[in-house]
Amino acid sequence: MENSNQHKNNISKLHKDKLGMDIPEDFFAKSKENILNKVIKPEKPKQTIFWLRPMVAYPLAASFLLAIGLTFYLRKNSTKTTEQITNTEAVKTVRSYFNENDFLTSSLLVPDSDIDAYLDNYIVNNVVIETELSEQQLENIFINSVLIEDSLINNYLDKSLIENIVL
Amino acid sequence: MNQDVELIKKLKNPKFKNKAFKDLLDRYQERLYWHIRKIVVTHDNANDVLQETFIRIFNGIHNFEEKSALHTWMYRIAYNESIRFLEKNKVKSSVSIEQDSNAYIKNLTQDIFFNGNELQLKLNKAISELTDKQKMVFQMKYFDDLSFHQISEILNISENTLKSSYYNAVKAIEEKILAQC
Repeated sequence: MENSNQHKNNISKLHKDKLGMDIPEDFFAKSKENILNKVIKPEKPKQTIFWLRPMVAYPLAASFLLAIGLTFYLRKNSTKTTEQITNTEAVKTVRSYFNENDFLTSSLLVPDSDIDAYLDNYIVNNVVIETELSEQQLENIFINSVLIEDSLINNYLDKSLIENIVL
Repeated sequence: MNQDVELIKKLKNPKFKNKAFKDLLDRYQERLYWHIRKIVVTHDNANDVLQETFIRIFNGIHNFEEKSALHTWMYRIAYNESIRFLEKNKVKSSVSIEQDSNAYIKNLTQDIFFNGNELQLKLNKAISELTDKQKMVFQMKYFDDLSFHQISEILNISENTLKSSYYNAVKAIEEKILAQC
């Protein structure tokens, strides 16, 4: 190997000394460059399809995922609405089942936030109206009592009062 | 030799091929140039053939089956390229492997990169008068420092025949130079 390297180092000298053959200055460096230029082509930048480039592909993928996500989200929400409607109907059914006039039972089904409005509504619809009605009935009682005999008056009054005022 | 084994691995790996090829050039460019130069005679021709040789080596390295040493394989390519060049330019320059001594000397002395003195010219003339086989064996053994085994692989001639040719060539050159003095 040593002989081989020595020979390699002396090979140009040997040919010059023995055969008179010469070479241009820096010939091997230039020749090497020429050969490399012929065999090693510069790497071209990779050509990618426009919509596969990262700058385009990532936003596209994100938009796609967003669209899919929104679709599922909206579908889920619409299901919830249906469920809410169904729940409301169930409340109505329960209300009707327990008798709408049953104030305590109905109030259990009213949300806390709506309880004040429910109470006001109940008072307006039931207590005030019933009070008015009972006043009207009371007048009727007195009018009717005029027509009823004195012997029966006490009994009639007691019964009517109990029915119209207490209830 | 071990360095060549490593180099072959890299040359066959696309990832390292370019770098390995530069190393290959550093290691063998000069030797192959002189091997070619002695066959095609002039520097310009040798330069052309050298480039063709290395292009073939670069493109054909994947077909190298490693049955012989790397440098033997490259010398064979260089030799074949040189012969191909001579045959291709036979009509133009009249130089061929069967060239006569006068045509050889004419080409040599016309080359601007030949600066030989009288003794060097005599040696060139003596070599040019050898038979083709003797000439090749003498040049590869004496100037390229190749073993008979390597020359045998490159020229596809048995070692014994080569040895015989070489000693006959040496003897013939001595006689011719002495005769010219």
